[in-house]
Amino acid sequence: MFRKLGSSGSLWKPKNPHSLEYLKYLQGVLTKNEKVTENNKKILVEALRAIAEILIWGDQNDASVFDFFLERQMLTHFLKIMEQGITQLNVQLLQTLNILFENIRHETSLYFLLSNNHVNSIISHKFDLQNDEIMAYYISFLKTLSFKLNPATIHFFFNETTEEFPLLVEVLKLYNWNESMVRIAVRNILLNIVRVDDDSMTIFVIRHIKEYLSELIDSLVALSVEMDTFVRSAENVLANRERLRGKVDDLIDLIHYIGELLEVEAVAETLSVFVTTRYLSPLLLSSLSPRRDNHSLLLTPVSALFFFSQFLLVVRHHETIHTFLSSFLFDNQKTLMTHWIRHEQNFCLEPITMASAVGEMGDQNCVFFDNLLEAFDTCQLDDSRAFYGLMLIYSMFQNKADVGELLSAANFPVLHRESGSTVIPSNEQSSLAQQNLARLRSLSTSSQGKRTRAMTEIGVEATEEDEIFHDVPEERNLEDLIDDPFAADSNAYQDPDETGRSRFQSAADELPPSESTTTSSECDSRLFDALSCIIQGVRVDENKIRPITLELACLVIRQILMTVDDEKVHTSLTKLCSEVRQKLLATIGQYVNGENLFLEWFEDEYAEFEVNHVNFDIIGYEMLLPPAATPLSGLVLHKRLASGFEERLRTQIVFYLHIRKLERDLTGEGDTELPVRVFNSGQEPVAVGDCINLHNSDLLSCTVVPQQPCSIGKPGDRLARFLVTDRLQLILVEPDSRKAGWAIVRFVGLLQDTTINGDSADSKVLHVVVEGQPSRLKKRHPVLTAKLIFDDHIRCMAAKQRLTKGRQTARGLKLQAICSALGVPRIDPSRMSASPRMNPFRIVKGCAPGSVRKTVSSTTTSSGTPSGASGRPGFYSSNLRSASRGPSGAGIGIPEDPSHGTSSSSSGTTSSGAPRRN
Amino acid sequence: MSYAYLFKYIIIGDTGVGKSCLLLQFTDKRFQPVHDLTIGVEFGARMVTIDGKQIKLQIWDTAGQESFRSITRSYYRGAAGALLVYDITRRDTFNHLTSWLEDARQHSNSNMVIMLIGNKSDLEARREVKREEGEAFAREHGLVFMETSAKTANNVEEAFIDTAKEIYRKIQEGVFDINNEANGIKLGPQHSPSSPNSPGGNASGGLGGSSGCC
Repeated sequence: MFRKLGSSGSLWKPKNPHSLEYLKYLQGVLTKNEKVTENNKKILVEALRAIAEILIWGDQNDASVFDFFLERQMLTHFLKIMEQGITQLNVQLLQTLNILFENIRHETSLYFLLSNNHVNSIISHKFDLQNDEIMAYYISFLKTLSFKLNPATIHFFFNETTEEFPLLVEVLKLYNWNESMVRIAVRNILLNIVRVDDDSMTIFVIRHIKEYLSELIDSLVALSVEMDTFVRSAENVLANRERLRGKVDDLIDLIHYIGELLEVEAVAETLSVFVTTRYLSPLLLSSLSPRRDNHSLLLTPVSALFFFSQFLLVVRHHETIHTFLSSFLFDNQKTLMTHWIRHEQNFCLEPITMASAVGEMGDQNCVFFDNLLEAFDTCQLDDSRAFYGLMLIYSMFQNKADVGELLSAANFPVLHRESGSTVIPSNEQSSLAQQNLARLRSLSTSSQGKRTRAMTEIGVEATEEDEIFHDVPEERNLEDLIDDPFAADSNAYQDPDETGRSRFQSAADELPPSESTTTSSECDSRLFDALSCIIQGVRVDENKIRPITLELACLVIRQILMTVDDEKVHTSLTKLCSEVRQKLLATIGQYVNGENLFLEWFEDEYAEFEVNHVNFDIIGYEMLLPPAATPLSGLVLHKRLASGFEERLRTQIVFYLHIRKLERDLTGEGDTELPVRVFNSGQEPVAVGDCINLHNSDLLSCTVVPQQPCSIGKPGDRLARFLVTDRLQLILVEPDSRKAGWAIVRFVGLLQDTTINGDSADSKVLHVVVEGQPSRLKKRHPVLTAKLIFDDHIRCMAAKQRLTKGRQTARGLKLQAICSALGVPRIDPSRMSASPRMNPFRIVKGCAPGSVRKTVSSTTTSSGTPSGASGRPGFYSSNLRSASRGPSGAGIGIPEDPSHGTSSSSSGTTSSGAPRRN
Repeated sequence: MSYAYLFKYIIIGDTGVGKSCLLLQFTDKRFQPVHDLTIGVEFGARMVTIDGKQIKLQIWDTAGQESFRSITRSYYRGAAGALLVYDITRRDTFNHLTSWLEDARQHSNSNMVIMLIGNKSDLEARREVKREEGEAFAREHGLVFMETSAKTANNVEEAFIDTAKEIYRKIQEGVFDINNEANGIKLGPQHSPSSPNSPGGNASGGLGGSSGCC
């Protein structure tokens, strides 16, 4: 059956839409409707759509379809329609073209479509790009085409004789479009174009892309300046961190893009020159040396170090990185020929005239490197610069341009020594960098390369072992208890660099010694002095070093020690670590025995210490803002300054753990005492699912009613279980129906983390909360929150007594183990009269300092009973209560008499209500 | 056509899972799925109505960009919604979900709505991934889950529209900063006071004078 088509006169529509006949019919429709009117618009749109469908069908099923399309020059119809500029039709046209180019599978079909230049005419057509829809389809069309580029197809797009390359020319016009998806597509298309390996095209591309590349680098300058301005003025609050995150992401995207362009030989040379002469040298290096001209646009050292390290982390282009790094490491300020000057809204790159230069400071060699070292001098007061200085050193190691060479380059002191003279006349500076480069190259091909390779292999091996080492019984036990969704990701947290130095060192010792193991040079010790500053800094009272900075410092020191083998450095560093560790221990030691929550704090911080925080995809940017000093900033403790007693002690604990680890790595000792283990080797901890013999054990029958969803059930369940305890664990079992006297373990938790509360309304009920141990993957959190109902109140009381005593004993054992690990004496808490800490805690409620109104703190201090619980911020009400109870039992959180209801419940609230770090 | 909001989506997942077909199926009803013909597109737009508001969805397929880190990074960040697609007849495409999700989570803004799609539900006989497995994965990672068929159009409409509803809900709750273009949301012409060509969202500019080429 044929249906007559209204306006197309004599055309008959074939029934089968997938046939050559149908295409012929559609061709007829196009021919008859050359002029687009209101009446035929719809018909034409449908015809164009149907053409896409039938051509794809033809490509997959019937070759004659494409022959016909080509023979009849149907693309010329497209062009004619396009020129009439009707939005609806042009959208359809572009969609049809998109479908064609995305879906055809046969190369010959593609060549048909691309022949006779119609596609280029479509590319150059002036579409109404202000229309969102047209723009989106147009840019998708260009992107689709760019994926078809290869040496075989390039000449359909690029005409060497007429010097025409519409795809490139048109796409370059759009790079700064106000819509992000378009800008991204432009970058994608350009990357696809420059990667085509064709000599004549490359020549054309370089000529036409120069201006774009230059502006691309200038946009990097603009973004950097904008970010720097932002971090100078913004406070460290969540909203600002989010805004900053957006800016940093834009900037890093751009650096990635530049890095990817630099990977393409065709544009690498040109782009490398722009990056160096417009960004790296006049902006970054300038900002890392004393100001010479009052008009120069400079970044804060912190920003400059950050951008520098990001650049090194992302870009691996050999020439760019080497030129930049050797300038940074060896040159003096005379290498800076130009600087950026602000002219109202814009910035201009201008030559530095000698007249404008302030003073004669330009001759000092290694001025930029010195600037880096200076970053560490003041780290006790503000560690921001030191943090980014470390990040830069770290990035040098991480850079992928040529790891072998760069490791030696970063080990600047080592190289300096080889040159035989430490003083180089200033007028030779330009050639110095080249000399060093040449030396680097020769080095890298010989022993150094080998050394590095071997080092990498060792690193891998060490990681595997490290994993086994971490797998201590306690942790395994815990992971059985909790259905941890992140357990599978544990590998992601493995840090190959965190492994003991001793392993690296002993392995490195077996490698052929590098030529540089002569005497220690001046620079060498200066680098170590700088790094030591941070370690020394944490020893100082009231220092302003954040834990993340020390963590990074330890990491960097380990990395440097992998390549530097100097006994003197080694010894002095070990000595320093030992001193600092003892100083920190003296502080921490005071509180081990007297502070109720020391156990929790220590365990939390140990877990935190085991997490590798040095991941530059995540950290880094927040530290650009001024250091935050309060939990109200929403930042985690290791990235900010401590506030209050608890956080200060926690920070000291982390410092201690890092220094201890570093010291042990230096001496090659493993740590056998940490993490703390209280299970004897002979006594395996019980695990869920175990079948245990309970002959002659004290069993208490009870009904367990979970209050929160947990591994044994959900709220509302009533589970008949038996309660058993061993020295350390609370165990819930179910009798094994097949073996009398045996039972299957359904739940295990640590008694030390168990809190027990009676029920005021029902004397047969105990409220029990068991927390899981904190680990690298998960913070401390309740694993069982349940009501235990016993047969009568006697049994209930017995259970309470046993759990309370068990908790006390378990905590004592754990603290004992911590004490012996730290090397401090364990004092029986019952003989401790008070915590040595004085109450530093003052809250002034709504009145100005100096007001006559009595404050809470004066009440507490005047009571004259400094106790373990008193003085903890946020606990003043319980202070008052304990103070009123008299000095006898107040200092101890673990109740002496388990049957004493109030004291056991207060110990419960103390540990469960302890402020947690977020 | 005017709209109240424009939401940008991306589609991610292994090659061959039917991303571009899903996209065409949703954006253009005129292409009837036919037995011996597979057609897809890498871009599509469509208007939907949510809560009485006209909302334009722009969907960008990210196929082929895997080799450029700079490109994938940027795409993730420019989107308000993502459809993470696997093929229920190919277990490997399901196994790769974790790494796709990691990438998406790392680079996208934290509010991006991610919908997990098990595609090719029409090929029941060749199924390798159970429906329950998809559900469990979605639950574990906090995603919305759906099985679809680009062939029969089953659930395709729902997948895109439910994602849009979720984004819309987040806008109502004030979670999204709608003035930040990087979130993948644009206010419609009648909402936005500035001209559509305002240079606010430009990544570059302001430097070295005008290029003279645009």
